[in-house]
Amino acid sequence: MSFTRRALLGLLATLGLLLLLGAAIAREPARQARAQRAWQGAAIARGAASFREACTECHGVHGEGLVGPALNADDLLMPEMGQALPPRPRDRGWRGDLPAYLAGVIANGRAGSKMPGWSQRAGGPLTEQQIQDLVAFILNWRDAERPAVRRPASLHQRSAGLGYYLFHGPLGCAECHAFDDAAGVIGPHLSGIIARKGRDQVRADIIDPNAALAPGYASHIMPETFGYALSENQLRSLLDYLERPADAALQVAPITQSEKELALWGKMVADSAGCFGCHTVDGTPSDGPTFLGLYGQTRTLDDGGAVVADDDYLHESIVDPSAQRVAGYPDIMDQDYSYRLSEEDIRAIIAYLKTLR
Amino acid sequence: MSRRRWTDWIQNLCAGLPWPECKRMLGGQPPSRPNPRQRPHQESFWLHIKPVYYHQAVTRLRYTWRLGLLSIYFFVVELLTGLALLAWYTPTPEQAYASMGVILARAPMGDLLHALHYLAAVGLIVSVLLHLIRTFATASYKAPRRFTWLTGVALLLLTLGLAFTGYLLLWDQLAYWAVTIGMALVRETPLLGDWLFGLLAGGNQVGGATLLRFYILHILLLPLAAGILIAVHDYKVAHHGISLPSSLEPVAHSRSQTAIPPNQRRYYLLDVALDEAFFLAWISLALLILALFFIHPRLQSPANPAHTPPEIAAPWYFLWLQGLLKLGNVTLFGIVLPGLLILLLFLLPYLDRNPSRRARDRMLALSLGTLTVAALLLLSLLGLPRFHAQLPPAQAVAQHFLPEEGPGPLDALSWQALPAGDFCTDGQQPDPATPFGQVWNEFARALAQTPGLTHARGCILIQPVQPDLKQLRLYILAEQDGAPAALLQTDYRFRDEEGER
Repeated sequence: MSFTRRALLGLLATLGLLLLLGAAIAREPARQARAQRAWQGAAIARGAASFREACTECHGVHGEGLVGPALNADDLLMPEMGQALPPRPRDRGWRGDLPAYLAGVIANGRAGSKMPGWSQRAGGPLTEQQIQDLVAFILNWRDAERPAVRRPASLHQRSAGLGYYLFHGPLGCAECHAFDDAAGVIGPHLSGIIARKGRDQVRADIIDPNAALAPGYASHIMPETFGYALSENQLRSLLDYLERPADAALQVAPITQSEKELALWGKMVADSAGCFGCHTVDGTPSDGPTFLGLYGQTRTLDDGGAVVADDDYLHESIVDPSAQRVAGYPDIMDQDYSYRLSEEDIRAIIAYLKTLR
Repeated sequence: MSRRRWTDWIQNLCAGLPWPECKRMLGGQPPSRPNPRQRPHQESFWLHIKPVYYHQAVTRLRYTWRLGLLSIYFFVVELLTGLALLAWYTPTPEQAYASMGVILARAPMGDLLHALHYLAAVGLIVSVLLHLIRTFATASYKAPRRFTWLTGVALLLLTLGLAFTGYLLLWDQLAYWAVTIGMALVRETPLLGDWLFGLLAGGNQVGGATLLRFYILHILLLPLAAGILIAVHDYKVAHHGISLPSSLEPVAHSRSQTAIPPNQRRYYLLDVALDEAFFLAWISLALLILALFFIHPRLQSPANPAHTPPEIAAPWYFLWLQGLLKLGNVTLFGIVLPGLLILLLFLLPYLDRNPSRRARDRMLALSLGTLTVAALLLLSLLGLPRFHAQLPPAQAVAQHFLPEEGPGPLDALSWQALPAGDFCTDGQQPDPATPFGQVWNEFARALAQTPGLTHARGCILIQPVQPDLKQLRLYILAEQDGAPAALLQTDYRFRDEEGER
């Protein structure tokens, strides 16, 4: 081949090389935007899987909150007008940005709460990358539509209504089971289940799903965490919901935030949690201090100090009864209420105590 | 100071040759006397390693296939792209995968750099292997070129070492677990196993220390060693001359340059050099087209030492080793046999005492060589995942339709083609005309026809869980070898660009 032809061919390749590179540089911004979205999307998808494995038990399958606080919530994700940070991290004194706040809480847990540290440095199972993926997933709720939490309207429907909420919401029962207006296809159909098996058996099945399997179903598909995630009260509501006749209309309406409603609810919780075994409401002394007139009183502690029985003190006394014990009473109260009651339950009990003046 | 004329610039461009001489050269005329074409090779640092001229028989593409040149070219591409990638890469378990995200999504031309680095690595391994096979086939390893062969085999090992160490740096599941398996093999080395493992891994398992050590090996020690060896190798090639076809050189001998008759000479400057440059321009173009339009190396999910993936595939150049491991004892088949193979490769020029380079005199060597290549190919085939221990049938079906890593049939569908709903073999069915309906039919057929599965019931459940995020669940309940088995696999799919259009 003559030199000219070789040179022409070679220059042609060089020209092609330069043209292609130029074209690649020209479309680079669009390429980067696409790649960033794909990378972020992959992180969110991985985060969703980790969330399902590690977080739903306490925060609910859609982040509604259960034992732990709601994550799919405006006060965690949406800054108010003129603020850099949403209220929740701000109220806790955080000054960094929201992703760092979320990553920090996931990694290290929150002292004084049931949230453990999930990072490997804190003795947990998650790698740094998995924590970042979880943050990406949680932040993706920012754009989600958050329907008003639907709770039952009146007291006599409250329990079954809460059951409805749990079933369709944070527990994710409806993802697998058919019942009422849920049409899950993986687990057994639940209509008439209480009539057939009795409350006790269904309760046992919820807590330990693998012990007595319905014929035609396999073990280790249903989560085994409900015994931990549910307070006794919530479990009862769930059973109430499952027990109600299919034709009974369930009135579900947005929750009323009134103290009166909350107090009524708190009385029910206190009853089911067994508070009245040791605490009276009529001023009679018992194993524990009476509830009558308790709220707002100044209490003398067994170490000689004094404290006003406000919201914070009562909350502490429920979840950690030994911390500041009133003088004259033995240290016998159960230490596990933080596990048996949800934050919402505790708030309701305190609202109830306020009414006993 | 004399005024510079345009011919001076040409002279500079022609590595110091005067313009009239360049014209003679390009016109194919013999050098003028005294021969000025030697000078650049004596004066230039880079050129002195190159011969002034070649025998025209070895400059033909069909003889050497320019595989040595190609190997050096790919090595240089690796150096350049690798140096650029260093600017964004952090070798810690916390940051490594995230920095891959920076490279792929935020660094300017980062994905191109990464794709080129990957492609040139594949090219390097291929060209080095073919170079070895070519050298063996033409018997170019015989004395006096024995030492050149030795450095070449060492360069092959360095290439594989570079590939293996580079593999881990991605810090995804594939990298982590493939290297974990490779390191388990290192541990099986007789006597030195634990020490070697500790030296390379820096701990009891593959972790942060391993990543750092592999990083140092990958970006510094191995390239440095390879660079030095390439210089030695190249010098030896220039020193002894490229061996001629066996018809012209039936018994190997070193060739001083003057031994080439004037009418057989092809000068390196500018003739062969331009040829090589144009050749490499075409290779570069091909590489760029592949990197831009065809090859996009995908990362798996980030390395998770707590979770072993169901399928771990070795990279293709180590498949033969994975195949070998399936034959039996790890130490014997994983260490001793490959070690012997490498030793034989090193010693080949010293073991093969046959002086002739003619194919008809080398029937034994050629058959053994062919046999070895065939055996390695066969072992690689055996190393393919399809010959691994098989997953239980239900899991295999689930793994096919909703794989833990990599794209499955559902990933081929657009985001919008995934309808929300619960689809079950005994319940609601999707419209068979839709793309999802077709995948669904494959799924239903797999459940019905997979041997070992009876009374299988399967569901695919699709549900939006967040803005732009759909949850895909796959449920199988079946009798598997007589016992009931069930599995529920969950995956998530984010809306990609294609879905938005």
